[in-house]
Amino acid sequence: MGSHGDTIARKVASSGLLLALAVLFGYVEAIIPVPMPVPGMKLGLANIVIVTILYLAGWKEAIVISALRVLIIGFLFGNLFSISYGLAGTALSILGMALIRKTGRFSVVSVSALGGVLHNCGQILVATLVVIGFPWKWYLPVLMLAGLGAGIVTGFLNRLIIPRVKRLW
Amino acid sequence: MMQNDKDEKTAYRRSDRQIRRNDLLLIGGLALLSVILLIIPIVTAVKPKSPALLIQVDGKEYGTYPLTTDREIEINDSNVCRIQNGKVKMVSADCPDQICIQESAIDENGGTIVCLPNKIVLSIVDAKESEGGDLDGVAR
Repeated sequence: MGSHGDTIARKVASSGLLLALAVLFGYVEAIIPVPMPVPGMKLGLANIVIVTILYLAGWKEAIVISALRVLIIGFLFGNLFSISYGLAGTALSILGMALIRKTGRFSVVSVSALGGVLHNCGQILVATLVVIGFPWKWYLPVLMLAGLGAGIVTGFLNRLIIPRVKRLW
Repeated sequence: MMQNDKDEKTAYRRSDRQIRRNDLLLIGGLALLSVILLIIPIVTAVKPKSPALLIQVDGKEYGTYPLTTDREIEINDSNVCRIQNGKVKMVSADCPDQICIQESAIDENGGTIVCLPNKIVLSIVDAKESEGGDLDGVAR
């Protein structure tokens, strides 16, 4: 019966661990730039962790940990702009992923693929709102394809990761 | 019971691993949609007769400059772009990320360079069609 407190303690500890891992991935991306076809494009390694959290804990936990990650990475390496783009992308992507996951008709690969696409759509949406005349027509399809590719890879990795870390939560 | 409900809700089900027809349809659909969106601006783009560089700052026209004349343009003391041999590049920016500097040069075939922090958009327009069509009308 005393396991209730244990459960909460474990969740707090796991959340901290996963947040640290997500921040670490962002750090690795910031210090080791990988050449990309579109400047500013990133691999999105941290999204591997975010998808894992979505499946282990749920969308609320995923949103909170993801938002904290964007804030921490933003204050360390970015600026207010990168924070606002990051938050919009993250929120849209997690909500979209949670919705199609709820239908139970899709595997983690396509949930994650949609998440990647929506992540970049959210960022372009903010850019279009902030910068009048932002040429979204050019950026949207390229970034959608990039998000799709990154999301599929993230999904396949999570097919391997989730069953192995299930007991973390 | 509560614990079981929670497990049921978030557990990683077998169906989460299996890749089925739905997955292929969703991923294929997203890929097709992006490719169509990618092709539309390329197909509809018309090569301008007298290509010019349009500089917009926060949605307002800053100036239009013909690509035929090599020159360097200072934009609001924050950015500098250069027209050289019909190609446009951003050569300096005061923002920390310097993404616009890394963007590849744009020319008469179109394309854009964007500096998000300073809200600057560089694009290629047809000078004859742009406002007034005044080639020497350098707004400063």
